[in-house]
Amino acid sequence: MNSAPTYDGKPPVGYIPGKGRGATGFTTRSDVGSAVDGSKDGEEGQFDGKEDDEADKIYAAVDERLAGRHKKRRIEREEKEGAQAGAEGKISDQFKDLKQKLSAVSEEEWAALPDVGDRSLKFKQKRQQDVFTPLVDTMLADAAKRIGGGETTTSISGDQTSEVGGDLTSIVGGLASARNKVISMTLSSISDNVGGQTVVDPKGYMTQLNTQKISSAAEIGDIKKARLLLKSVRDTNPKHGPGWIASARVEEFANEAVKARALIRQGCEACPGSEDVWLEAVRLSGSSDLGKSICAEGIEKIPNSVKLYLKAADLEVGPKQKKVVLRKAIEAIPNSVKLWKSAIELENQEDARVMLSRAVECVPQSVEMWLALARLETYANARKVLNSARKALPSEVLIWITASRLEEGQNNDEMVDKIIAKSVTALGAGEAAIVKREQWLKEAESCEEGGGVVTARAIVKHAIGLGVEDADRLRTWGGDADSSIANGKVEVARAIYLHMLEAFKTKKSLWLRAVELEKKFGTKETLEERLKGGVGACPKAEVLWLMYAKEKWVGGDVDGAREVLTEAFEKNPNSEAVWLAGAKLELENGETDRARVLLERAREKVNGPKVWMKSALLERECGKAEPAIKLLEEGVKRFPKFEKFYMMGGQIWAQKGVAGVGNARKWFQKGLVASENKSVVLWILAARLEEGGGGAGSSKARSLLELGRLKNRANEELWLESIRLEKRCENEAASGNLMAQGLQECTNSGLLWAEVIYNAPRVEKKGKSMQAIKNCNDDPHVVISVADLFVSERKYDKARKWFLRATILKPEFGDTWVRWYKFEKEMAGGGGEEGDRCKEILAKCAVVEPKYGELWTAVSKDMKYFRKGVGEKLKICAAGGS
Amino acid sequence: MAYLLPHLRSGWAVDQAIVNAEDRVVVIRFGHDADPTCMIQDEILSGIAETVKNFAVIYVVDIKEVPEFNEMYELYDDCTTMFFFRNKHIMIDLGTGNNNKINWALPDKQEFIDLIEVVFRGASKGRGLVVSPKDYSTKYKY
Repeated sequence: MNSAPTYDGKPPVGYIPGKGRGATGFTTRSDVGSAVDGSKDGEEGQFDGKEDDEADKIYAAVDERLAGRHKKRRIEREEKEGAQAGAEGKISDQFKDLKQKLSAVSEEEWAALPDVGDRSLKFKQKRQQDVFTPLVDTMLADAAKRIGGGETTTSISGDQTSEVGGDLTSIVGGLASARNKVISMTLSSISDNVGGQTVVDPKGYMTQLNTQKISSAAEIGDIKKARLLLKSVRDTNPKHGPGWIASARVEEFANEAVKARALIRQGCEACPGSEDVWLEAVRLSGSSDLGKSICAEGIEKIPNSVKLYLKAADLEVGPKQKKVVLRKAIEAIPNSVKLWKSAIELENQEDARVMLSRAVECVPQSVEMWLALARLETYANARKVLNSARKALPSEVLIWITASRLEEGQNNDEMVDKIIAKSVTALGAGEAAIVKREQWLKEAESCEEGGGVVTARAIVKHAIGLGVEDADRLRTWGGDADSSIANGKVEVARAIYLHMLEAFKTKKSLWLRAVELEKKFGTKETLEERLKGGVGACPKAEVLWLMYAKEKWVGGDVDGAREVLTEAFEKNPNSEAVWLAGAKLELENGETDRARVLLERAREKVNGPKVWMKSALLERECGKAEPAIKLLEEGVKRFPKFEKFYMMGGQIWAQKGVAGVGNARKWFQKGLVASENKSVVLWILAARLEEGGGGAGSSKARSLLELGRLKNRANEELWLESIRLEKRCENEAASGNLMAQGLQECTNSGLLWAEVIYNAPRVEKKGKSMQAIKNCNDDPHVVISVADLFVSERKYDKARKWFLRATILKPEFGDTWVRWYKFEKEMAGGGGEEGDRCKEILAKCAVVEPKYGELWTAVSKDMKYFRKGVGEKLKICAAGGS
Repeated sequence: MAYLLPHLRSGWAVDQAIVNAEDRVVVIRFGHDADPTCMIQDEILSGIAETVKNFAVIYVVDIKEVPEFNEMYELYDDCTTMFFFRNKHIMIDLGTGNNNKINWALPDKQEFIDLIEVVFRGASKGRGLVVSPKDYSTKYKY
């Protein structure tokens, strides 16, 4: 335990404990003695002995030597300083006399000395926090309600009212009620005025108080300034009406209604000729009685002021009084249309008619009056009225048109034509035409809007040719028709087309346009009429014939369609399209024999590859393979370059199963040779043949496709087929490899990209889609794939958007419709809104009639569904295909 | 119990003890072994000496035997305890007004250990004045 050393050794000579190790003591209790030894200096005490003395001596010698240096100069300086100090004295000496006086200051005087006080910024800032800001009444009332529970007991008697409002610190909860009391007292005092006459109506006063706003200082300043300015305006130019009005308005703005009224009355006196001043006075008068008297005064001063009369009529309450005022006004100013109008508006039909007949005499230049009168009169009288109107206003087109509408109403179509012809010659003829062509057309359109179809037609007939050069006719009229269609005026457009067709009977494009218009807006009858006219006018136009026939057929009139086509054969014996249409018609109606005969004749007359192909197709559909192949062989002899023969031939043999494979292969080989290896479809068909039952197996198919790719560089379909072949053989690695190669060769192939997206693992789909969109943004294949991706992610709205985009990009691409329809159908389940969407898609799809697309063609070209409609096919497609 | 504690018998010995303890607090009790106050204090000190040996060493000094520090450190009380670290007198704010030393007997072992620890911690960080964990202004009355 006793492990610490005790240091029993001897200290060095002269060692003083404590100081020897450099310690200093401390003094905390001076009463018991100092810790520091006063007799000895710290340094001196540390060691004692000879060394110390010697050092002392040396230091003393150094001091002495230093003192001896510059002794003379130092003495001189000291003497000089001493003299100076003696002359001026020390600073403390200089104030000696003043200090001595302090002894005379008494105790009280000391006490009375003022304090300096704290004027520092800090003090001021602290003071500022203590400034009290008065609170808004509502806040105080709110606070009081919270404290006192809304109970207020203050009651203010009449003599206390003057103090209310000024005294904010009074019980706040009572303020609002106090104010109400004051107001009610004022009101009762006002309304109980001498003579029982109410100067201010209490209701108005209350609402006025409610609208009262507390103006800010700036606003008040502005008002004062405005008053001053306007006063000087009034003084310098008292005859200036607007000055008075502005002054009154300023007062009104400042809620000084009385002042405003007084000012405007002064204004009325100063400038009695100013209508506006009187009107302003009426407005400011507030009550209707006062207003009426002011009006009367004003009318006395300005007897021909329409506005004042109208205002006076306005102020009257009942229709009877109003009528009286207006009659008086018309007596005073018989030629004011406005007055007549407002007077007539108040009358019933019979009186209005009478007044109008008077009005047109007084104001013959008012078209409206004439027309209104004509509308009210009977037919015979209306004609008279319009005739006199035409005499009064010969240049007014509206009167002419109204007249013709009148005739139209009586079914006098001839008269309509006459009137319009007359009006066009009167108003629109020559260089100085009052009414231009465009205006005529506009009138026609407005006529159509009002139901005046005959008039509109007549206008178009007579006015369309105005000022149009012969060379420009087609272009100008076409533009007119287009703009009319755009405005939704079908009748006018039809009339324009009819007129054009009369002028250009043999113009095929014009007929097509007219037919299109009928198809869009017209009825079946008008359409057929137009088509009939078209084929009659241009019998060489196959399109018109085919359209005509199709219309007939679609309308269920097969015989009619047949007739049309026979007529077409007569006119166009060499037209392949017409022959084929005829054959199609027969075929679709189940008349295969007739179709066969037709095609036979066609082969003789037209002799085109398509005719041969269709013939073969017909045989094939009838299940007669032998004649079909014979026909195809015939066809090949005549048209060896026509690929479809080979395709069909191969397919017919392939359908026969294993036995036909050899022949099918021969057909495909022949086709490939004939097409110089360029036919992609043939390559694919050949490959599929090999792959299928009875073929040489997938390795042969593979080599065929490879060969095809070699012959046809950068062909996406061949690549796709190769990829799919590998897939079918479950050769994943090879298919991936081919995909990469294919994409390298056809970078912008949407078909391949879509395949990539389809085959990618789920996590990679998004990334692949991005890449695909980057490479081929506008390809429907890719767009559909993306839409499918969204469907799988349950982002249905987005998916719908992308589907829509795909249909807009390429509406004839059937796969889009199929997939979209399938998606919506799955969404719909039972029906509802999505069911509507399905129907919508079906309808849209039927309109565009898609042609391409893998899924689509698989169904649309299938013989089984040959006679189904587009919608049916779509349904089948969506149900069957993926 | 002073016999259980090492005694320093000369001024030199005291100085050497203070100077030579390089990493430990030096606690010195100035007084007489036979003084009653000192006896109370020594009882405590001897009890904790072993416990604190890692960071403190405790000595006792007879102020009659070694009078050289009496004036310097105002050793006029019966029992005075002082703390040094690396030849530096460490002061403690005990709340009594005298930060230089403990001039009464502190009769609690744990309190004393805590005090030494606080001194050691503070001094090893270079502090000259540390604050006592306990306030003795009411415990000790002049």
